[in-house]
Amino acid sequence: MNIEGMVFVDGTNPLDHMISEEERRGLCLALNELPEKQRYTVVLKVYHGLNYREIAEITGCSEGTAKANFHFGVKKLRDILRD
Amino acid sequence: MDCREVQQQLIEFHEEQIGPTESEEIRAHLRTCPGCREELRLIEKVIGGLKSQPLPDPGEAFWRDFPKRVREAFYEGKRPMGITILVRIREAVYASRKWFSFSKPVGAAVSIATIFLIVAGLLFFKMGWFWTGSRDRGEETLEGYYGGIGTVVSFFTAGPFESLSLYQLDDVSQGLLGWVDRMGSSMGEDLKGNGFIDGQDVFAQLEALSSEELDFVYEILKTRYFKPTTSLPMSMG
Repeated sequence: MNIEGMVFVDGTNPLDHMISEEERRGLCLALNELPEKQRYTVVLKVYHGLNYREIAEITGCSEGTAKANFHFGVKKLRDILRD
Repeated sequence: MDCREVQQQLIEFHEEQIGPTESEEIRAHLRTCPGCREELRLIEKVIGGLKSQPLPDPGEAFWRDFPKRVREAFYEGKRPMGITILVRIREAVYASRKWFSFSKPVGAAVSIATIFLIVAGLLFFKMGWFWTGSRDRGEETLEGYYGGIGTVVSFFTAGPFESLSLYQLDDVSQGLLGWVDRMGSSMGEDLKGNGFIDGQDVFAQLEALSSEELDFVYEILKTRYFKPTTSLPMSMG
């Protein structure tokens, strides 16, 4: 099967989604360097699958703040991959 | 939708947390916009990349604040009057110990007398209590809920005169895991079915712990939540 020719419905290719070992290590390091609240939020959302309401309860902030923390956190990690 | 609107919703789109109409609009935009496709690809890489890693420990600061948050939740939440009274009595015992420096036998006598009075009072007011059979450890344990005898006993054995046993601390941490789990978290996945300690009861027990005991509980909790598998490289080199 030639996956290079495959395209997802959103127009991306399966190869685009593969992540190298170096990128993975970079992500891990970057996660540890995120501001505290953003790091908790990313960990609770990605690893524990909590929703924003649950994250807000645990981290003691509003749902909107939890959402913003997740967005900022992911965007900072995304910048690591972009660089 | 323009690029800015699409990019603001890409994380939710990736998480499938937006409605079908908006999803379709975003999909249509992605088909024609390489910039937004790249943005989505990076978001997927970030989230997918993290998920493929062993769970990192959220760090000391997280664990340092965690007991405080649990305590705050306890104080903000509703708790039965019986527990509130017990907390006050226990604080009074602590305070008296501080002022009069009870010797251990006197302290023990005071706590036994207090337990007797409380038990008598609870029975007088017909508060519920019951025995639970042996648990998996094969021990006969006395367990109570909301001011039952077991709570009184465990409350005071956690007091200034005796320390909680390792097993009791373990119960508290397991109960706390169960509580977090019932809040909808997947954190207590490995302990599902561990419903023998009620959320409020756990808080009451947490309330009764000394700071050293509390530290120990959180060490147990930490080990269970975050398996020590993460060994992050110190540098990228």
